[in-house]
Amino acid sequence: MNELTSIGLILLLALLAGHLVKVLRVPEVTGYILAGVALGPSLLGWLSQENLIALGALSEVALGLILFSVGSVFEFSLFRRIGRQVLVVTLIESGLAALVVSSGVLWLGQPWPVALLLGVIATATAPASTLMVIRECNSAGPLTDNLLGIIAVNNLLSIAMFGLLVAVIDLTLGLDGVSTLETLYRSGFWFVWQMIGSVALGYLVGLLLAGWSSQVTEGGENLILFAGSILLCVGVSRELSLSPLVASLAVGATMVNLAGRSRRLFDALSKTDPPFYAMFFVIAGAELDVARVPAMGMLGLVYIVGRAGGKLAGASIATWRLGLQPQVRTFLGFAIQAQAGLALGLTLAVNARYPQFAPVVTTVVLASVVIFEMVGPMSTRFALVQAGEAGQAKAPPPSVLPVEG
Amino acid sequence: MDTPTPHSGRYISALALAACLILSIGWFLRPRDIPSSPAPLPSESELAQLARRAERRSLDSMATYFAVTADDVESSIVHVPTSGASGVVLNSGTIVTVPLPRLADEAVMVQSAFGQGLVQPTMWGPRLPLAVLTPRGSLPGLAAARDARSLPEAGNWVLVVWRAGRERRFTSGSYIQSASVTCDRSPAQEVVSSLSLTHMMVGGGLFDIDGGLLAVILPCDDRVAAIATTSVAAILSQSDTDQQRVLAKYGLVLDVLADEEAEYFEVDGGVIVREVYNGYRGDEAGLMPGDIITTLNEEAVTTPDDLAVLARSSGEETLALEVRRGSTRLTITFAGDDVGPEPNTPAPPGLGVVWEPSTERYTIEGVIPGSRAALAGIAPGDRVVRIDHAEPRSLAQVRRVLADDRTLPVLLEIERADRRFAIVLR
Repeated sequence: MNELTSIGLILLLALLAGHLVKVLRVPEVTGYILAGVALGPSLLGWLSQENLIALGALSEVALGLILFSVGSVFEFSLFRRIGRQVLVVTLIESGLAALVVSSGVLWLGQPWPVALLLGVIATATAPASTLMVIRECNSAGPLTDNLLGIIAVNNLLSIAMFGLLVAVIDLTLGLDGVSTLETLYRSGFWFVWQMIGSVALGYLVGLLLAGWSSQVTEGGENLILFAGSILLCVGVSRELSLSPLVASLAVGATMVNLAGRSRRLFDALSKTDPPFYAMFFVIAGAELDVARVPAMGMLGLVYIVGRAGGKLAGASIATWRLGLQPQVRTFLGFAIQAQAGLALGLTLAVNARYPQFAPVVTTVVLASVVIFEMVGPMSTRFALVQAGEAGQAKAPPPSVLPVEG
Repeated sequence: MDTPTPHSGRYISALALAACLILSIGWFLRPRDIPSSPAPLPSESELAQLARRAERRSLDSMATYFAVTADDVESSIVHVPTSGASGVVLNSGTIVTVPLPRLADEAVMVQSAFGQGLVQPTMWGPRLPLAVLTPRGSLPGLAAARDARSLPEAGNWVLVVWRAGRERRFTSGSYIQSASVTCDRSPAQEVVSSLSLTHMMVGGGLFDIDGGLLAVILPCDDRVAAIATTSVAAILSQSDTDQQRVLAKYGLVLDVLADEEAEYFEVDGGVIVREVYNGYRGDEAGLMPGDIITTLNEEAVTTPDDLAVLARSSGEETLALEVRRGSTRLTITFAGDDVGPEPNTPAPPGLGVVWEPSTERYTIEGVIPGSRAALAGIAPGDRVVRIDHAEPRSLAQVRRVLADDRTLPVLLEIERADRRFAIVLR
């Protein structure tokens, strides 16, 4: 089928699936993903690999928009209020998930680099689906605020931990024909470049966007401006080997701090962007290969249970130590279970750097992402509803894009 | 990087300058081939690459599975140091291996992963592509191979398991088909796979992926083939005859005398010695192709079955054969303490004839198709050893005897590889 037919089909079926799953009290995101799984090559095959390749750019735009929104959590006044607790909670929940997964994998007799790589990958929480559930539930409150902060910091932390782990593995195993000093330089540079370089690029693109957006009044033009900036940001990041994720977050952070006007811009944008999100999640669903789930075996089971348990326990312990509100203590762990693109991105990096560890890591992550991408949004919705924050946003939540106009 | 005083234009510009500097200096200082960043949204081609890597894991698991299967069947594979080959323990408890270089029927040693033990050769000899060994008592850690339920489907995995000393080796490939072949003159089914079978694998087993024995790897004429277990069983049952035992023990192929042969040899009855294998007891005792055995221990002999006692003799009693060779009558004796031949030892004197290897002079280089010699079964490479029981006097005589226009019948003794046989050329 050609691209236009597939886009039409995606939008209509996403809408249908979104309505259908509402009856089951399941988030729309899960409906979109399930529609994608059904349409994709692993089940009905209506969306072919070629269709998915052609639609890749649309997904990039959608994810960029989402990361922009997530980046807006770094608004100075908000982050000064909750920044410290968000950092502590993220460190503990990520650290505990990594610890539990790594120990389990080691216990199953895998080499230590495989255990640590899987541990670090386990820390990543999907920003897109989590944010979409927050928007869909129209939720507001302490849990929502903390959750927004955590999904922003969590992804930065995952990339940082991955960079450090890569340095440790490279220094321990040694690179072929490369001295220790040069290995240290390469690993250290990569780490700094990913963080500081990406933020620098995001700041420059954010500056461009903020300056230009003041001249644009029409919603449609705003969308063009946003889409253009995002593609530019992601494209240049790739060209310079920077992190598109960090850069996109930095664009959002720059925007939200530089211009009071940005609020109007986000509002205008939110009227036009839902089709992108629907397509993003349908495509993400279509890319899931359900048939891989059984292949994960005992190792995958340990990864899934270890990650879910580690995040639940870590979030509870951290929020309890910080003396946060009871609903945050009880439900934050459930809200941060989703996992998607970044885990696959980190797995790709493992493939490129350590082919000897790649088969095990890839099998486990490909299979577990299927589970976490489907169950994660439901778990987030459960947490928001049970914490009593769903439907509490009178106006759209202060730090996020409103779901619809 | 985000400024705490967002509305200050000076700060914004300074930060922008700093960002540009960071990017420029970083790009300038970057190491060559810096790895790309983990993308939050992998592309289709990257996902396909991940999928392939996951398949690689399946391949690794498959290799592990093969090794586990090889471990499972390892207890049914032995090493036979005498021949350097492997052997497979069959359901019957006997071990099938390649023909042994030693002709005697004395016990040989076999090795398993856990130890070694003595086995008795119970079936071997010329014309057999295999030898059967029967354990004397129990051997440590040995278990019979389980027969495969059926042939695998084309493309399914099979593996060859063999032993190099105590070490278990294996290799895997895919099944192609089953084909009818001839293996050392025995019709057989060959299990054809993608595996390239070599001499180091002979005596090993070809197993299906569940560890069921499909075939035994045997030397077949000039190559190595996987001969189906059913064919191995058929070869064994066909060879479980007195004639085969006479062949194995004495290296003699005996046959009923045809009427025209009786006429040619001018005898009333008897059994003709068609072939004599070099180095066996028959050869050692002085029997030659074309000899007519007329009596055994003074009892008349008319069919090969009358000589079955040769096969069944315990080796303790003395057996005397009366033999007609042309116009000469000879008595050939197998002594009671005759425990077997030593290869290349000349026959004891006093039997009338001393065998000497023939010379290159009378090697047949080519045979015209349809000629008298070709019809009689003479092939290039054959050597004419004797004509009418006497060594050829000259090349001219050999040419004359083989000529197409000759009308008189003649007895030729031909040597081919490790045996000599008699042809009555008409």
